[in-house]
Amino acid sequence: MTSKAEVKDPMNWRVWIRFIILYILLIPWYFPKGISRVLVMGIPLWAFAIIFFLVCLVLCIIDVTRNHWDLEAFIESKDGNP
Amino acid sequence: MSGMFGPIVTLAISLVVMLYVGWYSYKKRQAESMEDYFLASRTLGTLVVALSLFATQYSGNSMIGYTARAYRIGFQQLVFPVFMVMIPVGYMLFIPRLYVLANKRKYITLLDFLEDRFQSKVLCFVAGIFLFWGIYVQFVEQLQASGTLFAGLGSNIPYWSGVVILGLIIAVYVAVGGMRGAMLVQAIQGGIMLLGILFLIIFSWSHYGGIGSSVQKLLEVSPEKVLPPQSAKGILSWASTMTLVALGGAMYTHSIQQLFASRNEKVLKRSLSRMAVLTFLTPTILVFIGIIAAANFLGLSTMESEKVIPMMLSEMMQTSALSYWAMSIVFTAILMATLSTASGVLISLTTVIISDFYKRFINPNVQDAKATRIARWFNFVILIISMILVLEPRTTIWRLTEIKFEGLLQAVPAVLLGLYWPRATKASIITGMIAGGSLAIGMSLSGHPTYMGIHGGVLGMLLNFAIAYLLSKISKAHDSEVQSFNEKFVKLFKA
Repeated sequence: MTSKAEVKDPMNWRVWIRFIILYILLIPWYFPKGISRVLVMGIPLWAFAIIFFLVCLVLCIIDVTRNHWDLEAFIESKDGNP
Repeated sequence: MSGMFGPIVTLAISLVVMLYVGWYSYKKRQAESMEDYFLASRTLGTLVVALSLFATQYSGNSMIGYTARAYRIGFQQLVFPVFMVMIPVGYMLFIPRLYVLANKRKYITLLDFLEDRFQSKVLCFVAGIFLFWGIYVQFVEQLQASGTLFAGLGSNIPYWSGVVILGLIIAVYVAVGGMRGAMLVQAIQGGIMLLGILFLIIFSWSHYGGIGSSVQKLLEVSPEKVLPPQSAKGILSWASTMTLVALGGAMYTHSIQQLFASRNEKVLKRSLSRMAVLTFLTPTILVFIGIIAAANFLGLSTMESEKVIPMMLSEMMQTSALSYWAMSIVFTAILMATLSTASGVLISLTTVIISDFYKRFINPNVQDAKATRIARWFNFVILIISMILVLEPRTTIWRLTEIKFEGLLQAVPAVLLGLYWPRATKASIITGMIAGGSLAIGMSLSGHPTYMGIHGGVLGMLLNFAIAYLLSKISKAHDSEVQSFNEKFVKLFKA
């Protein structure tokens, strides 16, 4: 039998609250309307912000796969019908 | 230098390697079984799974059609990298548990799970239609993209030649190599694609000037391409596109099949996190290339803009011998992107037809060897029908993408409610799928594919969820059904 301490299911609120916040930040609703000539590294500020939050999302996905997901024990266990 | 000599040489070398890998996989097959043909006997490692997932997700439509859309709408096409990275998030909703179940209960496809969970052939049939529709349109898109690539390279090259020649090559090696062949080839293609994208950005940067100078030019000639969405409708459309692809893309049956083929959970997790990095880098680069094109090729119509990448290639090829050969590799990379997706999709289409329809509804007692033989021949049938359909392109590649995801999205409530909610009943799920699908199809056919920027498919999925939930609440699942769900699925995840 498997013990609960070994098992991590990514379907929990600590994981999903981060995904939801990043989902909201990845929609460009919070930028002023009209033409802005503010450029960061040659691209418009709003595009830079979206790319920045996208990097955060990638890091978040890597963190979840490394630290919040471990169901291997269930595959090896004899519970359920093989 | 100019002409097709370089692209033909690089393409021929790649094709010989691919056909050899298909043949090698055929020799390496462990048994004439469906699990081996469709899932490579669940033996594939991280590099192969990650690169082939990447190659399948990045297809001809992303390299040609989505870059063309960046040409048309500018920085707002950043929604492309955003939704690509959202696909692994979509997977997080159901893959961790489904992978355990697939290993335990020997699922090959998503429908195996739905049948096991709901014990209903009708439900499987309806869900199967939506899944089949999504991947079929994906296949058609690839053929259209390869025709467009050929036609864009020179006025004397007919569109149909790209469709026919490449279609035949895919059919042969998929039919011979099965899933192992398709995934090994896709892994090689993934490598060539990464190289191609790198060359494309380096050479277009040096030939046309960097992204900074393109932005400056655009601010003068078409400033709207530098702006974020300006209206509530534009913002809703962005959010809708994100949702559409995050959930629809995660429903691709061929990608789920690839994930099931992972050797173990560690491989699966590593593949998904590597895929997240690649899905960020490459589409962001492709959007930048589209922006560079927008600043340098002014005034193309919508259908002309579809060919903007081949036009850039052909222009850069004429500058030096080095860029001629580099662009020949890019040309091959784009074809690889098209081929890899098309092969993954083709094998999945035959899986759906043989494993999900033929075996489930027509001949449940068919021997594995016979089913695999039929699957190999079915590749050609699907190919011929698809080639006939795309010989005259009717719409942009982008619109095909939307139509595809709108269908796939209708299977989401069945999978999520099926996996997490014991009280979901089969009748409510079927009603939800039919209602949601009808809304999406109705809106598309009536010429109003979106409402306030939200896709008909997303609205259909919301309706689908609402109906499935409410009807399940009203009709109340039998206690025996709930108990059976707990026994089979929930207990498995309790120590």
